[in-house]
Amino acid sequence: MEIAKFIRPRAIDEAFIAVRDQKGFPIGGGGWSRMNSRKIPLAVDLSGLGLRFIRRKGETIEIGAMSTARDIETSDDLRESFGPFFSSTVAHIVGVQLKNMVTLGGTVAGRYGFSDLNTSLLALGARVVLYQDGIYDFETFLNNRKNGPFLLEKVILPADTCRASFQSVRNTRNDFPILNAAASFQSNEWRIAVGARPGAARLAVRAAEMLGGISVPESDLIEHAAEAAANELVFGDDLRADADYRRAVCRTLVSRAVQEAGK
Amino acid sequence: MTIQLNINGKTEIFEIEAGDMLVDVLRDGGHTEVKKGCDTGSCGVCTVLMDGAPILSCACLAAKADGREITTIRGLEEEAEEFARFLAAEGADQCGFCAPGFAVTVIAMKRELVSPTDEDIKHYLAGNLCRCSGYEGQLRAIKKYLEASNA
Repeated sequence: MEIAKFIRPRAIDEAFIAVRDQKGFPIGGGGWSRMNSRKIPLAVDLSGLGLRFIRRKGETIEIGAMSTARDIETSDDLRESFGPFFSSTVAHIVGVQLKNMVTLGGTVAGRYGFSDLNTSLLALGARVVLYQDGIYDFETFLNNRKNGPFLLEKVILPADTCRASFQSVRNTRNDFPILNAAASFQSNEWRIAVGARPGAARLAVRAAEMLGGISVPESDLIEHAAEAAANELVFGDDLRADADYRRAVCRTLVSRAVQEAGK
Repeated sequence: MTIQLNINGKTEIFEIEAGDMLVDVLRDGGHTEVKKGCDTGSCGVCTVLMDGAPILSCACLAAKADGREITTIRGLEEEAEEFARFLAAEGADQCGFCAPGFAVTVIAMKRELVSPTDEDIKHYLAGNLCRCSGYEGQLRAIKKYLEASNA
């Protein structure tokens, strides 16, 4: 990455103005800087804005945009509400060093297709808070690329009783996923998300509807829902797998995710 | 641009380009104990501590480190030497190229985790590759090092 100018604002207003009015490029963890050949006139480092937090607020948990994957992996608040769901989600990020650098904000704002975390956030019904803009359902945020600059402040999760499971398949333990899937059962409702299709994560709405409000679905119903997920989602080809392979894997991952979340 | 780093307890000033990576700034500044391996954020050879947490200096913009405390293997010399004795005893230090980054991560793990299991150790060190594939010996050395430290 070629960077002409680098600033580290101390206030979120200052950062937002730099991003909005000076076309500044927000820098979260900056982990892609070496591998990226973009020319950036102005890099805006968000690490001085106090956006690194994970905190319980009423019936929700808020995760600041600068929270790292390691923060998410080791958070007591997240483990209390979601069990090992988040630690299993970020487990495949290569090593503790990279987990100390990768930020929630960089992952969410990048809408990366390969992201494990975005799939899990989608399955939980997360909302994203864009500074001086508003609160958006994460599904809307992922589906509709927002026009113009924005600054992600935090992600809000519903923290009421929840069972969730994350599943993935990859060539090696720390490789990007060939496909990932997450399922959650919260407030008598199933949500199923599938990512690395290889596009960004999407909800399998019809599959989740098939499961209805059944907390512990029977095996046959799970298999039918997994089949529905594979049929309703769109898959593509890339160097890791083709669409047909991903569709076949989708059935298995969704089935496993629902079975595990249903325990 | 000018940045200030506290490296192994000593403040140093650097003139850098905004896109320079930390590993290059450190090595050009004489800290050649920080090794450069894959240069793509994959192998862990370039690991340093930033404010006490292990990071990959080849994937970190030097500008982001401005004002931070950086600890290289040289700043951990006493602990690293102690750990190196366990590596040698297990025959786990072969070509030695991965050793600086590996030792930094092991020391960070020792400070962060209480009584880690084999799986905890493997998980924590997943980002440190050994091209000689001496992982079993390394695991034995780490366990004996931790046992001796806790004794």
